[in-house]
Amino acid sequence: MIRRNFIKRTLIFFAASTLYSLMGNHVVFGKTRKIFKKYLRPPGALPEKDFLATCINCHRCGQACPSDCIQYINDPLNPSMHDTPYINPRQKACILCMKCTQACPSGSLQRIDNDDSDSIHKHVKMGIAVVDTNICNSYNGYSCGVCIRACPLGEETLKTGNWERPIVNPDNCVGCGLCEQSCIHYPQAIRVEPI
Amino acid sequence: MITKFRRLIQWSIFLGIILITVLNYYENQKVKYGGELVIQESPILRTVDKIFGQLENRTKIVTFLQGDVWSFQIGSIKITDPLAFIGNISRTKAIYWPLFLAALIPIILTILLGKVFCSWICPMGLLFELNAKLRTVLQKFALPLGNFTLPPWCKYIVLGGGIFTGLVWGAHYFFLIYPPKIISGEIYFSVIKSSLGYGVAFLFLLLAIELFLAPRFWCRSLCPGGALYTLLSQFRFLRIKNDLNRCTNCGICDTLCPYDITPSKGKLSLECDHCSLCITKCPVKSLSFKMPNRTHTPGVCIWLILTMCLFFNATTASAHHIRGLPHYGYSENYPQTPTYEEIRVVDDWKVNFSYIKIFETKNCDLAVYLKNTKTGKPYAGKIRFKVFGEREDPEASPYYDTHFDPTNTFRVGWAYELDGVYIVRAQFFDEGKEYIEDFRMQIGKVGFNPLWWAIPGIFVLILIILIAVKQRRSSK
Repeated sequence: MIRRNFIKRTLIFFAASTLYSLMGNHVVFGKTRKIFKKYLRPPGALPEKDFLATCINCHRCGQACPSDCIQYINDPLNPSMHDTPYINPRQKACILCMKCTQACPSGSLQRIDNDDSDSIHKHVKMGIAVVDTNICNSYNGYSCGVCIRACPLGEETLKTGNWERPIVNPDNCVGCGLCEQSCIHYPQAIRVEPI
Repeated sequence: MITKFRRLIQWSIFLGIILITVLNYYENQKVKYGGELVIQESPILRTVDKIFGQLENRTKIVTFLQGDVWSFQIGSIKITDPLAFIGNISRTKAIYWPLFLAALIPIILTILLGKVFCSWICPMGLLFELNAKLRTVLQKFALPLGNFTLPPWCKYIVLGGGIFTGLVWGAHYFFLIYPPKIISGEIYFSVIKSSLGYGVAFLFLLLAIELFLAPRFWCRSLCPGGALYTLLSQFRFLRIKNDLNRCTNCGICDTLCPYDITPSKGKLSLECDHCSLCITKCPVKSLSFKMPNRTHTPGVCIWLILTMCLFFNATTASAHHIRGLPHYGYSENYPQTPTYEEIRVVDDWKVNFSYIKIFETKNCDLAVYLKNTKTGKPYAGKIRFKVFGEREDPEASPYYDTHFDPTNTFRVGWAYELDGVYIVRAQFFDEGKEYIEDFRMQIGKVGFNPLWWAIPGIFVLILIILIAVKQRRSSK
């Protein structure tokens, strides 16, 4: 009787734990494949796995953010990522003030100083902007150039081509997403792809 | 007297969290381009502006306190809940020293004073106590309230389970179930994002269970934070002791104690969180806080001061200038942001569906962009749209033709009559194969999904079954 109970309990425990870990991987069953969504993390974030391990979900980065761009994943089906910060640059992009990195208590956002732009160039790498030439206005006959004017890092990062065509320099782009926020086409032609 | 003082501290911390969040939000709006509009719109922020707006050191004063009970910052000193630290260690298998220093103050306080966090600081503890008072009111109306109890060692399983899952799978659940963390998170969401997270459902579930089924069961037997504090305060210096010479064995304290400890027997067990209910309600004043003689007070004080000094090195003052603002002043109603966007991959095609609700009209602009994932070229054929309500028959509504934009997107304008959930069906052909893709589109205010009631319902059902089983066993 005791042994049977023991076996039953271990089985239930392992079933429950496997379910829990499956939920973390965001498995979606359906006829169409959903893209595994990568989130754009705030500046100074560790690599995704370390970031999820170190983040203590305290909302301090969001409280410190003056542009209200940091949002929190609110998905009960995805408990390993629940309540972790991300940025949706289309709604509100990061303005690279680095206040969140100074507020973070757990080191999942590494501390970066905002004294000169060199430290931002050196340490921030949230993602890389990618231009979709199929739908970009400037590549299809309308001169636009909004993203070039929105870029805070200047000509070395988002170069102007002929007819104001944006050309991204992936080495310099930090992935703040101001270009994506400013894009007047929808779906947006310039996107920040998280690293 | 002590209970009133404690209640005052609890309320001030609960309201303080709200105030700190509002102040930080105010400061963020103040330094932001276009933030003055937000301040003028909200009456609360306007009054804050009247008080703090003219001060010279506004930034320093307003952001002197930051955070909540889960993670707090006074000036440059950071304080973090020990449970966050333990969870962090279990996931990373390494100690991040600034976080350790941040967790040190509460750890030392707990070692010295016992589980004071639970009864003096925890904002959820306050709500649970008020909830227990409401329960006594309900009892006066002779409602059939359950009296289900769980053994107190359950909380160590909850704590150990979280550490175990953190060690094995790299994910723990403390932040999902720890009520002070959830309530401070919800305060943050309600102030800054003016919305609420799923945590509210959990809190209300707990309050409902405590009210109707099991009084104070969370603090007593499930809270992982309480378990950690009990373990930390095994050798606490401050204890409540009963003077057995004075005690008349009236038993008032035994019935009052929320942790089912019996203070009348003299020494209180380590479950005690120093709520001091028994001290104030004792008619002969035989119970009191006692410091045992074995304390090495000067040594402890030096140790405390030294560790406090370490915190001043942990962080420096933050720089506060903002740059990188684009040349446009983007406000809330920035028109290029799509209301909704969804990306799918169907065979070779990456389907991007988005729509924009046109302001103050009942019109929507739907757009589909198809890109071949292999060649990177856009789709050049025809796409047809169909929009129907969630509960309508899909066959009844006709297909619309789209107009092809020069920038390779397919667009169609669509007008709706009622707010609600609609399904957009896009039909396109590739190499003779027909593809039909459905997208969910939510417009305006949609009512509360009644399925959410299922979650608390299931919990209540499980508890009722447990009670029934228990009663049947006891009757046998």
